[in-house]
Amino acid sequence: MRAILWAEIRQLRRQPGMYLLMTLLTLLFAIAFGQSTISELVIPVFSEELQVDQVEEVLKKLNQREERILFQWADAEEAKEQVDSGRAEAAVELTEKGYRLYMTGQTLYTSLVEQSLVQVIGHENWINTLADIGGEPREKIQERVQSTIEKPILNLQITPSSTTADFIYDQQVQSVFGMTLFFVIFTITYTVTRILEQKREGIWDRLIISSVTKGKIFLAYLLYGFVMGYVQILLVFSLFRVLFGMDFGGAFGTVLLLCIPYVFVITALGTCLSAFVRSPQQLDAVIPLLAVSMAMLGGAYWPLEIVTNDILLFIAKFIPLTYAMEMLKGVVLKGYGWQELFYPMGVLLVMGVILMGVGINVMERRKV
Amino acid sequence: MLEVEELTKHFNDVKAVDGINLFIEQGEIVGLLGPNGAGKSTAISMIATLVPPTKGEILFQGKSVVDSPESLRNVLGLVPQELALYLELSAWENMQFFGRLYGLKKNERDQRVREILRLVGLEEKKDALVKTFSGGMKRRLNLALALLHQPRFVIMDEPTVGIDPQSRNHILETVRRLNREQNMTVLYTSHYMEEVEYLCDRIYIMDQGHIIASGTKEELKAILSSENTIEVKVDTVNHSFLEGLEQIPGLRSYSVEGKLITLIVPREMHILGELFDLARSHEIGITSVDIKTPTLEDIFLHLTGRTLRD
Repeated sequence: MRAILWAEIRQLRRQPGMYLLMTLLTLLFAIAFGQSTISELVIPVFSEELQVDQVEEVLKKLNQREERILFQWADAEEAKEQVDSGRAEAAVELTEKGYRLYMTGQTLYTSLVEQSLVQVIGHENWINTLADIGGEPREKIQERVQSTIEKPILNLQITPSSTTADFIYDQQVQSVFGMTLFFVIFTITYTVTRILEQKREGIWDRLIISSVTKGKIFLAYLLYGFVMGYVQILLVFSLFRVLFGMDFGGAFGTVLLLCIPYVFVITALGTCLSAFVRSPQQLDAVIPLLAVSMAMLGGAYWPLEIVTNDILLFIAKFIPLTYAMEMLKGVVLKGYGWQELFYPMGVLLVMGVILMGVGINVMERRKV
Repeated sequence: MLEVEELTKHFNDVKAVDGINLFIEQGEIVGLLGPNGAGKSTAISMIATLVPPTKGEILFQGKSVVDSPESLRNVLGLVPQELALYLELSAWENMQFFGRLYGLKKNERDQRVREILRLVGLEEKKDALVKTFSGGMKRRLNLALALLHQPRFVIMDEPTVGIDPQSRNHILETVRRLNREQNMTVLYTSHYMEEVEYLCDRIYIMDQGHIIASGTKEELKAILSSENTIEVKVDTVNHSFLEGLEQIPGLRSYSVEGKLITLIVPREMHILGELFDLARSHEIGITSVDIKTPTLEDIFLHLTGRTLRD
């Protein structure tokens, strides 16, 4: 087994171009995508009942609360027209009693808009109602509420869940993880499918009749593919940490650890491809198709939280990248603990075992 | 040493090898001869334990190789038809790699690598990357890799395809030398008749998945002992002339290669007069006539009606 690793590493040293190119592409794409930001969501706000200064006061509070959304004063007709034409996700009409929300459908962003409105306007209304009922001055109630918020009687620990309501987005994290996991698919599958190349070249026959067992030969190539993929991830993440100061939510070690099940699944996927694909030409067609589809469906290019199509979300459940992204983003952005990581990690390991089992079995049964 | 009984391999409906029987004694060079697609490579893959047979048995020193391939693999060297080499490694590194696979310790490995590279004439090129080698040098290294662990039995599948005459001679001489000096047993496949005639003690002729003849060169040639091979060179060949040729009574078979027509006729039959008359009537000039003793190529033609390179 060591002999095979020795030979493969020697060959890599002589021709490192493809490997370095993949690593470089990962870096470039992650940098390029990481610096672009999702455009700020603009929500038109209008009122026919409130005074200008009242509207401005509410707008100020709304914009302070939610930085991903810009609440902007607009003309009533124009605001409604923007919603009708789909140029705005929603529009808000401020009334004396609260607000009215205009929208054509429920999306992640309309949920965020609603949350902001409830927090800001709902909170104000509640204080006003208390003042009206109890006769206590509004400022005093406000003061008491503020002091209670600062010194709560009970401390509530909120456990993050994976629902869209907890959607936290960071473009750099999304692109670094997404692009790295995407490009590593190419590195690993092309490395593992060298088995196919070696069968075609007759080297495999020589290996089989040597004193090394077939199991060890498979293991050597799979191990090599695994290490190549993992080292690439390690390189890219380390470079982002050192050069761009990305802190990985203070969980760099955990992030690296969590990449192991994903790299394992992709190695297993490479084994499966080696078993089913018959020629390098087929491989050149299948690998990019598979990698791009998996990246799109698994949330490497954009967060799955913004996908609303149920069919696509269902398919995503069968894509390893979905679970890898969930784990990595969960740890970095939402402070996931092992309890939350257990399920995606388990799914990845099961996927890996199934793919590896099928791949090795099919490869054994047929002479490629 | 090795016995093959009713060996059969089907790929779906295609019978690549159909119930062949053969045996090889220790120290023999046995040739497996046949045109492309005859089933030689499939037969060899089964004997080398690389492909399981659909039916039949392979016995090595009395033990089934199908059930336990290790008994053969430990003493087997394989020279595949493909150049099974790492092009990005040097000749020395290639040899070291396969030496490690066979578990040779460093000192023994280094010594063996040097010896074998000298044997195949690549000692001076040991540090050059294989991708810079000529076709002949790659073929010689392909052979060297199979000899590294001192196998008792070597299977060579078309080891001289597409190389220069010098490298071909080198390979043939090496095989012969190993056989004579080390009593190495060799199963050699080729569609180059002259190689098989030169090297092999016994020959099996395969066609369309079957063994159609076997024996020593002399035994095989005896098949045609009652026949003559006549090679006729003409200045042109046309269809009506060939039709006329088929009408000559007693002509067993013929083949045309450019302007050379090979005829197989019963020894007692004299057809030259008729042949000249036929040529004259079709205005074809005969430039030479050669009456030859039969070759393996003639035997193959006689048995199958085709030449080996068809």
